[in-house]
Formats: sequence, structure tokens, C-alpha cells
Amino acid sequence: MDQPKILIVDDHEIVREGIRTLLGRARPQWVIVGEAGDAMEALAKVKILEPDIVILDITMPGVSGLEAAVRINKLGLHAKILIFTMHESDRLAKEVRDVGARGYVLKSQAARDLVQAIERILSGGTFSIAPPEGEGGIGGRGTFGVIFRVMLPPAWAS
Amino acid sequence: MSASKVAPVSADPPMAPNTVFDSESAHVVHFYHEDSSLLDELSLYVGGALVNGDAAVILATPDHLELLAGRLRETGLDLAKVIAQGRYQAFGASEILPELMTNGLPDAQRFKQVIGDIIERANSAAKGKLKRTVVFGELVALLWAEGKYEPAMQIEELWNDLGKTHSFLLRCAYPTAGFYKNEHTEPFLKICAAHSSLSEETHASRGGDEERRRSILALQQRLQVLEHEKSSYENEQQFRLLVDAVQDYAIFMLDVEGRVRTWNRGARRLKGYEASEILGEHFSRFYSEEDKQAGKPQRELEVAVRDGRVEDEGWRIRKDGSKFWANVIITALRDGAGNLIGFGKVTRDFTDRMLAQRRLEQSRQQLQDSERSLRRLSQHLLRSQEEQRRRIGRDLHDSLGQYLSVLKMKLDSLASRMGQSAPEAGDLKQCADLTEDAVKEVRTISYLLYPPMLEEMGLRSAILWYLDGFMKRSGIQTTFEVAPDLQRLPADTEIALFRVLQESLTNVHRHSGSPTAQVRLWISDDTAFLQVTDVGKGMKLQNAAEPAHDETVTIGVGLRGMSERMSELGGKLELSSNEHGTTVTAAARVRQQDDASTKPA
Repeated sequence: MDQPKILIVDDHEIVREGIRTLLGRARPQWVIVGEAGDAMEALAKVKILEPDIVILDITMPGVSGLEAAVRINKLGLHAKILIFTMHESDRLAKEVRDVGARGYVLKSQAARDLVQAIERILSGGTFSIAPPEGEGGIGGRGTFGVIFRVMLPPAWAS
Repeated sequence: MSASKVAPVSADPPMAPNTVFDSESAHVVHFYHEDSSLLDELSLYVGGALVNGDAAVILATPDHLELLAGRLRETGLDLAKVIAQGRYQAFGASEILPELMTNGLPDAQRFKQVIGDIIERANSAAKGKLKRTVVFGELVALLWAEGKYEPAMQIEELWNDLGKTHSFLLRCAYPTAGFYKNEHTEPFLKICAAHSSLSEETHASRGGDEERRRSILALQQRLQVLEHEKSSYENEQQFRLLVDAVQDYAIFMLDVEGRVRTWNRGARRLKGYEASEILGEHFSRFYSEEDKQAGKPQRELEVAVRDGRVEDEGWRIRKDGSKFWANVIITALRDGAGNLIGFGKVTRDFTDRMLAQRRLEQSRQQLQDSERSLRRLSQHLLRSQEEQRRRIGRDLHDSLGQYLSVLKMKLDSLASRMGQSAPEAGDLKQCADLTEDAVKEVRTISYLLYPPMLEEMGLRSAILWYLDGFMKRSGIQTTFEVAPDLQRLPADTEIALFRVLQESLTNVHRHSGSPTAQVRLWISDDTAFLQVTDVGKGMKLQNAAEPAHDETVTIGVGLRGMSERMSELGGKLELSSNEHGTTVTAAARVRQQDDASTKPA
């Protein structure tokens, strides 16, 4: 896919502009088909513009990016979603998977990770900075070093 | 001396009684209620003596003299004959008395002379086999009636003295009506004593003692009755005075129909009516028109009749039409046989008390309102504090954070375009790193203010993130136990539980000295539990609802706020602590949240 169509969704104009500049410089052949300032606008534009990639912020006024991801996937189009956020946590990878996104990139690491993540998703893969392998296992160790155990309900424990 | 002497009588009447004289003592006193009873006995006493041939000396009131003469004639005695014989000597007591007195006091010499002469004359006229003289004297009763108790007693003594030198039988008589005062008691007892002593010394005879004792006993009983009546009368007088003098209570009586019968000073003061205006009026005029129309006055009387008394509080009307708040007690009054004779009514003015009571209730109500609004205010403050934290956290994160992120993005981009060999590459790298630090700082501060992931990803993720930061800051090894499929909880509950976690771990860090901490989160039935346990030195336990006064102030206030929050959510906060550690448990009711996990706030 030489000329993938990209939709940028973020409630901050300055962030959208930063992404556009970054991508424009790194991959001039990519087409930024549009921008959206919130989830509802994003949904409308996904339907019209049919982007290949949706770069989606999580924290936005109204419907959050995670909810927007679920709704976009429900449209049944081929748009693949990349979460682009300031949040940083071990939980994020799982949440991202749960809503059907293909990966996530931290905003402060955009210059390093964004292009790479888009390319990996375009080629059918996923991207995340640190998949939380240990989560869910008993006595496992989370990405950020918190020791936690899964507490089984009393019926299972017996 | 003006004795009424009559010619002696020759023949003894055959029908004359013969029994009395033998059984009589020498000095008998007779207390009588009515003249008829006196005359009954006296006619037997005197008549019997005359029939037996003895002599009689009568010192009596004109009335008694006349009546006695009549009675004696009725028995068939020829009074003119015995008078002619000198055996019946009658004198008006009030005429004899001055001859016995000197300067208003009995004179022993004159008594002995005057009375002694009369008795000697009578004795010499007596012709019966005993040759006796019977005497009836009312001298003493006369003095008594004039209030001359001491002279009366002296006359009694003089009679007794005379009895030592002269032979005669003496009978005195007092009307019992003369004994009613307290000061009568002493002389009365003396009278009894005077008469008994004479009889013992001189003329004691068989049967006479017993008769005398019996009569003295009867007299003592009579005395008791008199004393009781006297004190009742005095008490009643005092009570009447007391009732009348009372000013703070309206005390008055109603007749059976409810009309005012008595009126005291308090009633006049309280209700404004003079006695002359209100006596005979129906008491319903003290009631308001509404009460009257509702039949309240009559109903209260009915209840008083049924239950014995009725108590009521309410508005009553004064003469001038003004109202006062009255406490009223109506008591049914019955005579000894149980018949209703009227009602006693006591009314007090409770207006001040009632108003004070109302003010008190108002104050109490105001206090409750204040407490309620204070509670609302405190809840509002908690919410608004939460909202502010959230807003500042959001602003930092979404505004400053975005700018810094984009700045970092551009710096990175610039650095990569310039290449590492460029002379500015080092500075540029430093700028990018500083920006990265700034982003992280903003993120940390904003997360501390309000955990954004709590909204986006729920309590479980938020706790994991927070614990990571907490362990780095405090060095306290913390474990987290949680069910793998924990659903999203209501937003209020999630933030409240998260704040409990923050507060508790802050306490663990600052106060407990514990090297480890344990966090557990679970749901049982419809309640979510969050528990934070440490193995520190424990804290001085206090009621979470009361502020502390020492180092634990921050704990107390913090947990108090948490406690408020939990109770607002229909849950509670429990704190247990000893020297081995502290456990804080928060419980919050959660409603069904089927789709919460797919619906971040």
C-alpha cells in the first residue's frame, strides 16, 4: 500500500498539526485524508473518507478514544486503529487490544515510534511499546513492577 | 342572800325513785348536751333525795330552777311541803355568786360562811335515815361560761374543801358546748381531777367508782372529739386563708353545673375578674369561642367526673379578652357518700413556659437544619474538591502535556533531520530529554491530582498504576490482590475507593513505619470492598467521625472525609489497629453494572 490514507483524531489542533508535520516529513507519499477533533466527528469522517489508518487519541471531550475505537470497528470497514496517547501504563496494551485497536504510541515518543507503528500495522501486524506478558498469571509481575496476585472468587478457590 | 325558800312538805310521794342516790358519788360532774338530759338526771337525783327525807340545795340558773321545780312536781312531789320543811333550798346561782367573791375572785372565807351556812341549815332540816343533803351547783358553770376558768377551778376546790368539814353530796353540771377551745383542755382535766378526788376521800361507795370511771372515760372521748373538731375548724380557717392568699394559681370551686362558687386572689389576678363579677357565672367563659362551640368545657367536666380529674393545656381568655396559655387541672369533688358536690379547679399561667418551649423546639430545629446543611456543605466541598482536582489534572495533562508532547515530537524530528554530527546535536538532545522529563512531570502531577486512567480504564488499572508510583516514591513493597474479571464500578464508587487507597497508603508511608503493604479489592454480593493492611506500629484509634488532637490529626481528618464519602455512597469505612499493624476497610454498595467495562466514563 503505497499511498495509505490516514485520519488524525485528537482534540488538540497543535497535536494534529505535529503529527501531520511529522508524517509529512517522514513519509511524504502517505495521504492525510482528514482530521477530527472528537469521537463523533471521527466516526463520521471514517465513513466518508474510508481511511486505512485512524490515529486516535484516548482522552477527548465526550466519547473517549477507546469507545470510539469500538464503534469504528463496528462499522465493518477496513480502517485500522492506532491509539496515540499521553497515558503510560501496563494496562494500556490490554485495553487497546480489548477495544480492537492494533497498537498504541506514546505522544512523547511519536518521533521515534509513530511511523514504525503505522508501517507495522499497515503490513498486518500490531505495535506496542511493552506488551504486559506477565499479567493474568498468579503471582505474576506486571510491566511496572507491581507484584500482584489474582484473587480468585471463593467458589473457585475451594 | 335571796334564796327562794318554800314551806316543807310532809308526805313522801310513793312513786319517787329510790335508786339514784345510793349509787352516786359525793362530787359528781355532769357534762350535758341538752337541758333535757340534765333535768332528767337532776330530777332523779334531787327527787330521790327528797323522797328519802334528805335535804336538797340547788344553786342554779333561773331557767333550771323553774324547770327542775316543774319536773319535781310532775313526779308527784309536794314541793311546797318540802320547802316548808327547809329540805328544799333553791338559789339563783348568779345571785349567790357575788356574795362569794372579793375583787372578782372566789373568797374562801365567804364561801365557807355562805355555802356552809346553807348546807348546815339543810342538814339540820334533813330527816331521812341518812340525814344527808344533796347539792346541785352551777356556780362553776356560770364562771366558766364567762371565761373565768381559774376562778371556776378555785370554786371547785372550795367545794372540795367544804366537803372535808360538811357532809353533803355535790353535783355539778357543765354544758359541753362550753368546751371547744384549746385553752379549755387544761381546766377540763382539772375538773375531772377535782371531782374524782373528792369522791375518793369522802363518799366512795360500791358501784360509784365504776360509774365515775365510765363517765370520765366518756368525757375524755368527748374531749378528743372536741379537740379534733377544734383543730379541723382551725385548719380549715388556715387553709381558707392560704388558698385566698395564693397569687400564682387561680384556685376556685365550681358547682356541679360548672358555675363558679369560690374565687381567690390568684384567680382574680390571672383572669381579671373580681369575685363579685364571676361568682355564679359558668366557667366556660374562660374558654375561647371555638372551644366553647366544640363543647370542650363540658367535656372536661365529664372526664373529671369519669376519671376523678382532668388536666389540660391550652389558650384561655381573660376578662379583657386577652389570651394566656393555661395549665388547668379540674378535680371532681365528692362527699363522704361519693356524691358529686362540685369541682376544684386550679389554673396556672404557662404562657412563658410554653413560649420558651417553642423557642427551644425552634432552636433544636434550627440546629438540625444547620447540621444537615453542614453535612450537605461538607459533601459539596468534597465533590467540588474532587472536581477541581480533576479539572486541574485534566488541564495539566490535556493542555500543557499536549504542548510539551508536541514540542518533544518536534525536537526529536529536528534532531533526526540534523543528524548526530551537527554541532547543535548535543544541545538538541538535551532539549528533547528535558522536554521528556517535563512531560513525565506533568503526567505525574496530573495523575496525582486525578487518575485519568480511572475514567478510561477503571479502578483496577488505576490502582496498578498508582501502586507503581507509590512503591517508587516510598520504597514500601506493596502487593495487590484483585479478581481477574473485576467489572467496572460506578464512577463515584471508583473514585471514592481510589481516594481511600491514596489516603490509606499515605498514612502507611507517613506514620506506620511498615516496610510492606497489602491492597485487596473484591466484590461480595452487591458490595465492593477495598482493604489496605500494613504491619506497622499501629495508630491511636479514634472515632473516624471525630477530629483528633495530636499527630494523628491528618489521619483522622483524612479518614473522616473518606468515611463521609463512603457513607454517602451507602457504604462505610472501618479502621482497626493495634501494635502489629493497621487495616482500613472500605465498603461501598454497587448496583448492577453489566455494560460498565465497555463504557469508560
